[in-house]
Amino acid sequence: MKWGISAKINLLVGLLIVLPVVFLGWFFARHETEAMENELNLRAANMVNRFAGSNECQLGVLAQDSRGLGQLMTELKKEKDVACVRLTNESGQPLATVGAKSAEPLREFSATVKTRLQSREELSLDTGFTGDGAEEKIIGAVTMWVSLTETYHKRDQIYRLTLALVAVVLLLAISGAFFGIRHLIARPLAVLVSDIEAIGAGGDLSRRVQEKRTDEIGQLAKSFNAMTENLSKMLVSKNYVDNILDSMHDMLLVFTPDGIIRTVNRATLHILGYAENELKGQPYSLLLPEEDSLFRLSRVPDPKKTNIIHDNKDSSLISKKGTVIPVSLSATFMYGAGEGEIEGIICLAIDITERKKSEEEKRALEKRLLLAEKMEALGRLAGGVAHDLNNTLGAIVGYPDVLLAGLPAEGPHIKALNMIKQSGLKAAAIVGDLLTLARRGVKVNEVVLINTLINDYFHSPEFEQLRSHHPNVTFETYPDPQLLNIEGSPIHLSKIFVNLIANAAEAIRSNGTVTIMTQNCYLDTPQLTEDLGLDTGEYVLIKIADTGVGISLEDLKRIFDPFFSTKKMGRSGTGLGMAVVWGAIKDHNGHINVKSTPGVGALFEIYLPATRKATALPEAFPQKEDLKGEGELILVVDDQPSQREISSHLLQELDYQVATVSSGEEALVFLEYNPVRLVVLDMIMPDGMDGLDTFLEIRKRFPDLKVIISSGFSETQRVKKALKKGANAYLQKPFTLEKIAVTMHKQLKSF
Amino acid sequence: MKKPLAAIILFLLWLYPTVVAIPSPPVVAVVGVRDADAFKNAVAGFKQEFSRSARGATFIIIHSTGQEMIKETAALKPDLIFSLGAAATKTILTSAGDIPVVYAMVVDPLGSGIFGENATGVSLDIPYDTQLKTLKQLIPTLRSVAVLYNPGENKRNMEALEKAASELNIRLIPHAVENPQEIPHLPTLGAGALLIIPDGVVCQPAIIKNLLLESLKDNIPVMGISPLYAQAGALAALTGDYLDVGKQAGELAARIYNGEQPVRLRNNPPRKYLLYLNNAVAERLRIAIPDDLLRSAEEVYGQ
Repeated sequence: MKWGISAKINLLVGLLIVLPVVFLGWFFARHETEAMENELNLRAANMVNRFAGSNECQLGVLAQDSRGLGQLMTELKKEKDVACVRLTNESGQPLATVGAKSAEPLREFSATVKTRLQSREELSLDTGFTGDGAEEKIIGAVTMWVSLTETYHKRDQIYRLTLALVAVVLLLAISGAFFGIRHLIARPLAVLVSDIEAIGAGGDLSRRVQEKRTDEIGQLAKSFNAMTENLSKMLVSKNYVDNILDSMHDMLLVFTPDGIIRTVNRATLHILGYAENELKGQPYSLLLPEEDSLFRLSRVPDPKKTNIIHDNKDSSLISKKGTVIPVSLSATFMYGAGEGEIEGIICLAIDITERKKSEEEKRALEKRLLLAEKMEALGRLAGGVAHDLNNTLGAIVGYPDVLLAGLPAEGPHIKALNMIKQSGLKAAAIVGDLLTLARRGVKVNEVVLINTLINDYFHSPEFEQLRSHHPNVTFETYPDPQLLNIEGSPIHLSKIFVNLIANAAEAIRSNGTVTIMTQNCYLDTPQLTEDLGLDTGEYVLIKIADTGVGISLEDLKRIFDPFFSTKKMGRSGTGLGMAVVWGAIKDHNGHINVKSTPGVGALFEIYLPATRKATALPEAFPQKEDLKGEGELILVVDDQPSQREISSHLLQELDYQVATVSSGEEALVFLEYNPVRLVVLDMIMPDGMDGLDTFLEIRKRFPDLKVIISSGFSETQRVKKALKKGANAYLQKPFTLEKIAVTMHKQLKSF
Repeated sequence: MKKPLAAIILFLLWLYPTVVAIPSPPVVAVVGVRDADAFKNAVAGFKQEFSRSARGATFIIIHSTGQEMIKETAALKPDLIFSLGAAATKTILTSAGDIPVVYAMVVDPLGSGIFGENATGVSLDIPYDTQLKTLKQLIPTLRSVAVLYNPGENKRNMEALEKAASELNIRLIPHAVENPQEIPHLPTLGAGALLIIPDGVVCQPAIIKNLLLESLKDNIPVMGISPLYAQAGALAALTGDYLDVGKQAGELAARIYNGEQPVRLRNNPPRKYLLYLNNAVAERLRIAIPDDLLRSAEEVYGQ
């Protein structure tokens, strides 16, 4: 039960009235009754004493004059309230009794009857006795019973009168106080409260309460109106501030000096996933477990110093789900009204997740860019030399075939020529690696089954050579029979396995096992795809594990760098193998993951995007005789005389008629006047029209003419453009007889 | 017929006294009566004795006093006035004319100015020798007796008292007091007893009570003049027999009725005395009352 202020005032005033009035009433009644009883006692005592001291009484007692005493006592009994009087002699024997004790309330009063008596034993009849020697003796006693009936009756009357007076006074006083309080306090207060409640309920701070009164309530109303006005201003200001805080994208948190969360803005709730009531009153450790120092500092404030605690400090907040959110934290003291008094700590936390991610990406990008730049530089270097080197190798690779074609199968120079050819091919492969590293390799998108590539490798002479070098190494394969296909370049993909398997074998110092396993996998978890940097989807996973010496952590960071090698110089490798692997995988939108424990072994996991396309049936390789031409006129356009010569020799060997020109302009002129069936066009021609320009002009003038693009570079943008504009094929230098035969045959027999 | 006869009889009866001259019964006016047993007894004794001589006498008691009493008495035209007490007697004597006045309950009539041709009566004066003898009987060792008296009233009696005391070998110690303020403390008189005689100054209730109280306090026996004294604290009181006083006055009235002159009948003392004793006072005063006195006492208080 709630007591209103008027009820409390009524109660208080009522008590202040009731207590004194009741007390005064009680005091008055008590005083009156006591006075009455005192008067009775005094009167009775006086009566009995006066009676006992009277000469008549003494005389009557001495003379034992019961009759006379009776008359005296009768007179005494006539006095007011006297109910009974009894007189006894000195022996206590009653001399006279007047009246009788009744059942009514009585009060007893007694007095002794004393007189001075001579003590002489005998009468001295004539000795001139003067009264000396007399002594006072008790000769009797008077007992008087006074009726209290009248006294009690008066007392009761006093009580009743007092009670009635108290009741009347209380009734009047309380009624007056009640009405006074109601009129002067309760009703104005009720009006004020009603107005205030209306303002509170409606939230209308523009409304004002009545200020008619001039007393404290009127002053209260004025003060309330002033407060409402100030509140209205403050509310506008607060709303403005709240609006600002809630509009912020960054998190704002206010803590008490002890680290209790007091205020958070909307962004904080949104980013951390909390409701406001879940945060308010909670300790800072819920959100900022790393920031103990923040609140230790706050307990030792130094007002002379700046109020900045942290300025864009990298920290982290913990979301409701437990996610660590990196933030840039700025914290300041919020000082109170007192000097040096810290009211709280304001923290502004900027979510730097994206920035961190960007930085990570930037770092990765920079790393990749660095690598790419390195590769680019290498590629430029390789590209620069590859053209000339391939042109040079063209003779080494091409002429053995020319020579071998003219020599008997069992001739004494056959082996030497084959060695020259193989060396040329190997050199060409190195150039190819360099071009691959420069990511300028030919982009071939064939549907490939990895199992087939691995199997082909295990049946290749290269593998035989590897095994011969590592007789103690056991090679185990676990191909997934249901393995999906991938799209890519078989040649480049093969380089992955060649290099990784070779490295694995070489990592095994004594006995060991190299295990190759393939399987399908589907990456669908963001964590995994983010970690691997891959998109969600189907992948083919190739695992190559060895029980070798493993890779140190330091080496692990650099194994994909070009020219990084832990192998002994001259034994094998050029330091490009792992770089080629990395480049090939990236060219195929894949990812390679390396796990290694030094002394235990290493595991390479290669993810390559799978495809549901089916592999093409193996093309029947035509016989050498079938590849020969039928005297068709072929125009070779190349600025390099040696290349023109090699090409001319190889094509003539294949029974084609060959014409050569050194520039595009010459080629166009030649084509105007000769029935050329096919043009082998070099893309890189520094002087005059290059290959692309020449091709475009040829296509413009001779739309049906077959054109094969050749280049010592890998597939460049200009090559791609030429192919896109209708070039019929691309033939990378250096040519082998088989390669050019197949290409020419394919183009000329296709229609 | 009957009515004329009755009228005749009544007429004859009316004429009888006049014709026969039969003397009418006397009318006696009684004045000075107080509401006290002594007075009532005296009136009763008077009526009893006078009625024997004067049959049919009528006694009309007049309760008023002063001039009213005189008027009522005069209006009554009594044949005789029986007056009780000195005050009433002196008043009625002033207006009685030749109507005989017989008084009673008067102490020392001559001293009180009650005398005249038509006045006679019975006083309450006990002879002093009787009183002193009785006192001597009660206190055989008694040597002296004090008397308080108003000289203007009792000086003449002191001589008789002195004479009676000397005859009994008792030293009389008279102490004159002209007003109540001169009442001395009893022990200062140096007497063995106090004899109270009828005196207007001394015999006032308050003075008597004080004297009695002092006598009891200081062991000085007192002899009073009425039973009330003995009852109130006097050792003894000797008084006349009021009934007999009344009878004695009735006899005097009868003699007057029979033709004697009042002046010849003079003042007469009471012929019979009554002794009243207070045993409690005697015990307090360690006085042993002789048995013969106890037996002869009319009443013994304090038993």
